[in-house]
Amino acid sequence: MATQIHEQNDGKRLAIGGELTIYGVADVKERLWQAAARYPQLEVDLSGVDDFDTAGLQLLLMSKRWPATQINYVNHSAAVLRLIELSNVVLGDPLILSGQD
Amino acid sequence: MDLSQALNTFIDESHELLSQMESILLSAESGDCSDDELNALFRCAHTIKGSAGLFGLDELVRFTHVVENLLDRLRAHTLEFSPELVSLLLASKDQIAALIGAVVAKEQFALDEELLAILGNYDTSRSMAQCASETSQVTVEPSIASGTEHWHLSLRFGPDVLRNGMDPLAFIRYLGNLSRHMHVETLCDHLPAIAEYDPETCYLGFEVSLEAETSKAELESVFEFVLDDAHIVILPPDSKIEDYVSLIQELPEGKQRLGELLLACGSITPSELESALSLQRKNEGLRLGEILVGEGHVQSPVVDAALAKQKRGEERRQLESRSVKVPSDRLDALIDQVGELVISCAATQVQARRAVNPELLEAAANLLRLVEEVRDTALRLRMSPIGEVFGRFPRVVRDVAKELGKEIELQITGADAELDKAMIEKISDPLMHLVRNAIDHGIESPERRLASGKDLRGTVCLNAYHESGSIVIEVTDDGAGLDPAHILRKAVQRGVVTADVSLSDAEIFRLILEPGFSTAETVTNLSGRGVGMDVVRSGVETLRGNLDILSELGCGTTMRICLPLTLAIIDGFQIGIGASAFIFPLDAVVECIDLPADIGHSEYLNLRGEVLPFMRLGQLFGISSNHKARHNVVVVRFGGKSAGIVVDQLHGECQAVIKPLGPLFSGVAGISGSTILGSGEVALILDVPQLVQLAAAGAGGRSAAAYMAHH
Repeated sequence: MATQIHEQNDGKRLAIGGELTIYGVADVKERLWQAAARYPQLEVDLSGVDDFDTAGLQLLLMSKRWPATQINYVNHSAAVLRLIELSNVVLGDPLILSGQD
Repeated sequence: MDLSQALNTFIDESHELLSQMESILLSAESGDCSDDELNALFRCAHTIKGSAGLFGLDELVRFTHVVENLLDRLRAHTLEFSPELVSLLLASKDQIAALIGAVVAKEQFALDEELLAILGNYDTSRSMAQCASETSQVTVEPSIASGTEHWHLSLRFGPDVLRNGMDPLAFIRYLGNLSRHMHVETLCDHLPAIAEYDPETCYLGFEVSLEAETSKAELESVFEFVLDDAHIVILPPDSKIEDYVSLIQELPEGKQRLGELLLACGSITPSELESALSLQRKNEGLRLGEILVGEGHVQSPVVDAALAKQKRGEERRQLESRSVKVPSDRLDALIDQVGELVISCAATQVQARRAVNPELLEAAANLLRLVEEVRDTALRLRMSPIGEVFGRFPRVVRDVAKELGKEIELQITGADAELDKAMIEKISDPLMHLVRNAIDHGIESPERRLASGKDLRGTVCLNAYHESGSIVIEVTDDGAGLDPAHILRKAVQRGVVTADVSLSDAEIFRLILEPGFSTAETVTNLSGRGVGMDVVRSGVETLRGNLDILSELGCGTTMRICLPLTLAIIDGFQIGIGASAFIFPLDAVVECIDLPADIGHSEYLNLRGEVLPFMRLGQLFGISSNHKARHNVVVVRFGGKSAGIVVDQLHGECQAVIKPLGPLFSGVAGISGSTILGSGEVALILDVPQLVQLAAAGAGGRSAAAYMAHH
């Protein structure tokens, strides 16, 4: 499914839906970077992400490197959680893990 | 690379592999299965599993993995085929097909866990029963292995893998399916500064440790598609410290950092790391390749396997380059255009003839010849051997026979007879009905066969051959045959015919094609509900074919389907009645004779001692023919029957592109389509099968004439 990005709360909160994969990652990055340049704190809702891949994971990792903006991810969808668990990366957001190894 | 396209290729390939599996399994059931076939069987499952992993189809991988294990044991001859095992594997094949079907339909599919469990246990329980010494080895092995089968993989992907449609984490997820336990460390050291970040470039690397019973070749095959685009090091379970040293040396990250990662993965212990680093300090300056070869890191079986795989890949590529997949709508467009070309070619020839210019006429004739060749080639593009359909039947016959407790031998002949690809798909269902019917109703129970002195094993034959522009497909059984008296009784009982009607045997047989007619005494879950035969008939009729039933009581039944080869262009034979032009398909024309002047109102001719029914086309269509002219009879033949058709003039051969008739004319008997002649006139194409029937029926013509008169 195609990627959707919804801005909420004046752009301080983004909700991403559909696929966060190589196919849509460039768009998401562009929007996220614009928002990050405007606000010191951003919240990104991942509950609608139903497809997630290495490119998506990389975007999450990179976004944590913004010097002056804190980007927090919330409501990770199952697809996102699965890959975070698999790759063992530490993003620093509170996660609800499935408990499976 | 578009992944959805790759997925389609995977699905196509899987279907081919599955049908290959099926045919090998069926031949295994009849007792002979060579080592080559066993290897092929294993490769089928292996390839499906490998590709499925690539697309993240986890359920499919999980299931196929278990099947593959069984096949591997068959290949190694630690397990032998039994009828039970063949059934199990066939069921597994169906399960895989169903899983792939669910992928196609984008549906969730519940894996048959029961089957999976049986497959999983089959491995050990079976061999335990068969051979005790072997089992002890089999069951003990994993427990030893669990401590030692620790693999370590170092994965560094090239910057373009994501852009190329590969997902590194999908590979790793697939590895997870192969292993009992997996630990992944993601290496983020190469992530760039924010400003330089390109979201489509891959910056990540992975260190993976697995506990799995696998082989280096198998692990390598996981990465088959990214080998050019990635740096992959696989350290087998028995790797020495030196190998880890090489790894550390080889990779671009700092020594200490990598050491930590290896520690995190549990691949080495802290003391091992310490000794490795000191060893590495001593070796500084030695190049990596030298170390690798020196340490025997590259084992020769691995190299051989890699070579073999490369060779296989090449062969496959060669095979691919020999055939091209073309969307069928492009083919249709081509054939359409060639059709137009044929028409304008014919027009050119007519003009050339009128201009009385010999050079032009010769050029036009040459052009027409070439265009005809192009037409034939274009039509052949759509042709496929009927074997594509026949190939599905061994399995059907096996399953149905098993269910009914009958022994059936299936004989297939003429599988290379070709017909239009679109028709092949459509004829499959009617054929399936016929074959099931033949086994269920045609072939008697073993007891009855014995009692009537027949071979216990019944025979069903599938045969196909070309006959005068059509293809004939026959389904023959050597069963009890149809009982005309019984059918007639049933038909009267159901009110299909009245009791006082007198019918020939052939006409009685055709009654079973009526909707809702079933003669079977018992309704089985295969057939006998009386829906089968009329489905067959309508299926065949939509393809402009017809269905004949030949049967001899006690000896068997033959169902004969006659179909036109293609639906697009035909060689025609043009005739005239009054001012109208008509076309016979040339293939159906046998000969032309004069109509004897003294024929009167008889409806039969004497053709060299044979009785030939004939009809006047002018009368059939209500066209007043030119009575002064001498009449000709065109003898046509279809489905083994001949008839004479009386016409005014014979115009000779021509090319005809069949254009469908509008719905208004769909009820007109004797006409199957229209075409445009070179002169621009419209000519109707005659439906020979119907004409032959009408001529034989004698009276049929009048109703058509009445119909024409009213419209």
